Amino acid sequence: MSISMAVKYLKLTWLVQKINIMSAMEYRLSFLYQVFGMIINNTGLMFVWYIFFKKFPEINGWGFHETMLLYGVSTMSFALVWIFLFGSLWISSYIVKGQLDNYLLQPKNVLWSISVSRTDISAVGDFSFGIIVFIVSGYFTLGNIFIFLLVGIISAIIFYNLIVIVQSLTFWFGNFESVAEDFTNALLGFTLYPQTVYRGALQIIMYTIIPAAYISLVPVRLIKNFNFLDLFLMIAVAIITFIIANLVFFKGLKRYESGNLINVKM
Amino acid sequence: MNIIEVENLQKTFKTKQKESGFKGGFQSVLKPQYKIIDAVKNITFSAKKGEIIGFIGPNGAGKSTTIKMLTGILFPTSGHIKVLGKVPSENRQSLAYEIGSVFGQKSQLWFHLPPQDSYNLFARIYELDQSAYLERLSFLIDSFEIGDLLKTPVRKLSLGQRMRCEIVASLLHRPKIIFLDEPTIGLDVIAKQQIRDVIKYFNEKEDVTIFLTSHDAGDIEALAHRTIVINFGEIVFDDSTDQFKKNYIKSKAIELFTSNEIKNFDFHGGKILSQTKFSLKIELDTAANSIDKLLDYAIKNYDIKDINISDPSMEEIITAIYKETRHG
Repeated sequence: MSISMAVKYLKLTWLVQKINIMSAMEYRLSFLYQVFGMIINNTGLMFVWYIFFKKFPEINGWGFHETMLLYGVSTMSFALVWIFLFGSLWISSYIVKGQLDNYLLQPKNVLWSISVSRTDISAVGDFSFGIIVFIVSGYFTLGNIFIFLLVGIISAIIFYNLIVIVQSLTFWFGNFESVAEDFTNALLGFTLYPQTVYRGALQIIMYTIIPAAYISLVPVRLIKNFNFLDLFLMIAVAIITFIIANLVFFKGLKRYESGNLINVKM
Repeated sequence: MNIIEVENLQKTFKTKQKESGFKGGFQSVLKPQYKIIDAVKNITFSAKKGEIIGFIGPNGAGKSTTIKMLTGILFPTSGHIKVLGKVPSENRQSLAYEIGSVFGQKSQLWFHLPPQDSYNLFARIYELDQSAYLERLSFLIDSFEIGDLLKTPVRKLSLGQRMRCEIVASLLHRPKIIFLDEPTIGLDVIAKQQIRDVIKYFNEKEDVTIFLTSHDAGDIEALAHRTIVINFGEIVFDDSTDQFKKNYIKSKAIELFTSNEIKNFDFHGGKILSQTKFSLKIELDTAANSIDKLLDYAIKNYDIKDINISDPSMEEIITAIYKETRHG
């Protein structure tokens, strides 16, 4: 893919998101409620951790500040997916309901068309929360802003790829929606715990089957003390998972059976 | 030049079978049973530039499956397709710039937004030149009379209004072929007529090839130059629509409701299908006699309360086709 092509797709992504947001704003109250509700929700969670670390100041070298940093990176990176690529979480449902048709008729990469087809407005609240938590985490320096954004974007890409892989399994297993959803929740759940709690076999799982480590532990490590090894590890994981995601999706697409349910674009 | 070429096209689906009830559900988890369904069996046809092809058949005949393979949505199980010289399953994206499609049961427009917003986005997705797009849009707005609808959220449009807006969306990028899958489904008579008129207009004005599926023989009668009838995944008729009408839409069903008792009905070409004291169902052979004469006769002889006139249904046409192939 050439640079000009990538720029074209990025511009289009922005335009489609604008439409999605406009669509959500049709219902003003619900829109505001979603955005601010999420900020309040996250603050509540942070408060729980605050109380926890007051009682137990450290878990294997991690304290409240590291946990805040973790929340900052992972909330921001999954918010990026939820804002810009939320359609990826609907792949399974689209397959089952035969809704891929619309996107297959557009003259663009179909995985892109699906991924940008939806926006979760409440993620705007998550995004802002991620930034705020990072600012107050104690790791906020000029250099770290750059690293924070960089690792946030790479984690978002890894996160997205994993979602696409699991959701696309629906092409083979039929109604896979709830499994795919559980996987996403598991990934999110494991991401939001101080990563040093995972030891032994569990730690291996976090690097392999549920690769939450690349979205949480490694990024935090990078912000705490930047090193190229970790950065390359993250980039490599992002590239590998991207290739797998595309393989699984496009191989599965040949098995797509469509359907005749009545569909609308919400 | 053939703009669509289809050769020995096949599509099979594997469908899970399940006995009814809880026990059946349990069995289908442990030992799933599959049934192979031949949705499309070995069909071959082609279309020329500027033609309107009516692709008809009863529900489940394979119409939608075929149209989805032609547009690149479904991968064929076997056989060859070329649309505008391209293989849809391999060149889906580049083909999409040159074709338009409207699926009666699937909306391309954003449900909560006015059509105008969707159009503006499509213009960017199809990479249309901005001034050419605006000119095109205003022309389409006039032709489809949707000026008043542009700022209304799609969810508030009637089905007929929405369908006109959908067709406009599919014409923005000046496609060479338009695929319409059941464009008149669920519409009332007037809305149906409007849709038919604009389809015809664009075919004549811009020489757009039109591939239309329907289970309404009326659509075909009004529009198609050529008719292809598909049933159980096989083509059972492929010829001009005139030929089709002459052979298979030979009769109309007429129902009369009267306030006085119907006695001694006798009209040349009219066959009584069923009769009660105050109603009568007649099949009229349109080659032998005309509808207006029948109506004259009816009004003269009875006190008419109500009249229904209808075309033979798809099922009746199919039966007629089978009868003919068996005898001829």
